[in-house]
Amino acid sequence: MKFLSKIITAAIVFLTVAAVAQTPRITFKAPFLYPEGTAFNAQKNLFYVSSVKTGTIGTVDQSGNYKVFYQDQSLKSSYGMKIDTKNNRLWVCISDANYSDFSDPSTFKKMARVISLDLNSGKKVQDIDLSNLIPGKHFANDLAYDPQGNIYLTDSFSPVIYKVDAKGKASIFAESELFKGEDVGLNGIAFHPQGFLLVDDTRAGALYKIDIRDPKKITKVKINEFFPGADGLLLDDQQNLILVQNQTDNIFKLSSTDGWQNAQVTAATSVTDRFAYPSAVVQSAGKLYVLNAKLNELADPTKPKSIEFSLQLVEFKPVK
Amino acid sequence: MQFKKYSCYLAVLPLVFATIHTKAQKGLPAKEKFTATVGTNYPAHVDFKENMVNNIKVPAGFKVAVAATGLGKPRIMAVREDGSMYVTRRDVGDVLLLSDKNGDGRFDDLKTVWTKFPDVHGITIHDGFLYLASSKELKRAKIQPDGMLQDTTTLFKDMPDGGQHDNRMLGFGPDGMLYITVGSDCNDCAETNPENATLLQVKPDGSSRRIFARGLRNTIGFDWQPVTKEIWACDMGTDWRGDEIPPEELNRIVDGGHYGWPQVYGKQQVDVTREDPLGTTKEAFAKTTIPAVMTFPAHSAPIDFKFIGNIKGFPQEYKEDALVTWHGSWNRSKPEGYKVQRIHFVNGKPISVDDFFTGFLNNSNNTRFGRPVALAYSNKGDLYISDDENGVIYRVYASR
Repeated sequence: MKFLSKIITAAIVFLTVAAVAQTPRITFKAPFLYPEGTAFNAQKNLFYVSSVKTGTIGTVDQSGNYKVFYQDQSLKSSYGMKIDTKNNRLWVCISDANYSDFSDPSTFKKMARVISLDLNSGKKVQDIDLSNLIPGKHFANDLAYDPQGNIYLTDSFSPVIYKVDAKGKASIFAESELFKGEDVGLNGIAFHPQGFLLVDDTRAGALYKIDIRDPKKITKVKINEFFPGADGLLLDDQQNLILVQNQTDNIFKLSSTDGWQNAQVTAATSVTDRFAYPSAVVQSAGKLYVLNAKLNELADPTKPKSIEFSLQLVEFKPVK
Repeated sequence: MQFKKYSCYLAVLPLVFATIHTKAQKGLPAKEKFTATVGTNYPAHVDFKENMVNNIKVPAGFKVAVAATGLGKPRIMAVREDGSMYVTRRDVGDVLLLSDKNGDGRFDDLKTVWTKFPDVHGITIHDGFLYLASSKELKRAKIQPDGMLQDTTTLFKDMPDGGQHDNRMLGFGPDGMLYITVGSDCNDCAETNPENATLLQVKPDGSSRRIFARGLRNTIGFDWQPVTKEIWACDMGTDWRGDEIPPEELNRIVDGGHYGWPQVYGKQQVDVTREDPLGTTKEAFAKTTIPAVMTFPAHSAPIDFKFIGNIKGFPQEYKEDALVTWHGSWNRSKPEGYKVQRIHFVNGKPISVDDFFTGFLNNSNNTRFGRPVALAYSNKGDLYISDDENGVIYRVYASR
């Protein structure tokens, strides 16, 4: 009887493990941090993560140890980030768009900045104001840069994409009726080496292509599927677009054979991977990691708040 | 000495105690003992692939196609004159507007028309307004020509809390009044809010709210029979009584009717596990309740219910019939539901039921790639079925 019960227990454990198997995670303890953006520094073998609650930027190592890297309450919230490996800088989008503990009427949905931090000294070396270029609400959400060192940033509350040139001068790069609407619109952004930007739109579930040389050339990429909740974007080594859909906890791989006039989903993650409101994706040693931001917990008052967050490995399954 | 001082209060206490407890007070304890074998069986989730539409079966003379994908958990739909469609998403708390701009039968444009509306579920278009309901709130907004909304107003925000059944559904009747289904907040309790487990009636401006029918545990979709104009709806029965009881019900909803829950189910069947109502017996009470007209396999979970009426292209013999979406069971050893069925009405009465849209459930490996939620149709003859398992909207149409 005792032996049989052991087998039954083992069988139950085995089945449970198999049923809940999800891709590996680097879990880190950072109570109530709610990180939204991430970047990976191959030299230091460190992930950087932001925070919508405090604006703090921290590092996470491969063993899941979190350390504060840059802290300043006046940041309110920090969002998308990218590493400029050439100049050893970390660029971070700064706004007071939703959940900051330090939110203030003078900055709420108004402030839009992009800062750069020196990766060695940890000091802030640039702080560029984007809030005066167009009237209205502002939310500096994500950024991408081109080989010339120009940075392109999305404003989720205004129908524009900003540009900050290598000298640090900010301007409006692209503007469109397509980008207009309520709440969060433009979100993730990626630079394609063939000379255009790919930008996603959270509320339209769509992807746009913008010509770098002529930013008036804006087209919607034709895709069969909708992506409401489209968030972080990344172009991988084969120029496939990795798209993170936060509301439905999915990550997609899209490819195009005609320069991104049309695109198809060629692979996707599974619902059983249990991503938890993924917001951003980075590449680390040839693997893709997604940040589980869990921002759904902040939108729902019935959900308990997390003390742990994770970076989770992406394993794609073909969709055909 | 102290006792004497306070003894006058002792007389008052029992009265106070009795008053506090009358509301939740039950009658005499149930006479019978009851045992049941209960279990759960959730068919496993399968991620959607486009070619799975080939696994869906619809009757001869109909075709099925995918109308939209990637929508997460789309719930209830409302189609506009121009064929564009609003969809509520309760979990995200938003309302989407889908359009088919190139007319190829697949939605190709998406706009988010309302955000930050937690728990939003029921939706209906009436008189140029879009009406929406969450568990507690009824709101409406003016629909602009492009489908975007303005002048949003909250008509009231004091419906009962969501609890177990938070799927409010809206529908305007031939009498011009707005009807709202409000489920129970529990499995089998005595509710403390009189509006739980009811069909409510209210004026289009949100005033004069009253209870139309009671004892409906979780009636979601409802509709008016095209010929008799009577209200019909399916109701979800109590859990944890076993695989086969209580059955799901099809009810004809009348003003002032009591449909039995929690003490009575099906065709005036008494739930032996419940205490008697105050001052009477379950059996006597059962005789005052309205029996189900038709019953279905327990735990199939009916969500939407719509009469076919004049959907363009549908066969003449379907004109009086209704469609019901069975979301699918989680607590039956042999899964049921996960399909849409057609209930055939003759002279205003339901007489038979047939499968209309099946294939989500794979019985051999106990998996599902969809759970149908709501029904909506365009004036072009497209019947839409939403699926909140994989975020797909299907289109069924008559084909020659």
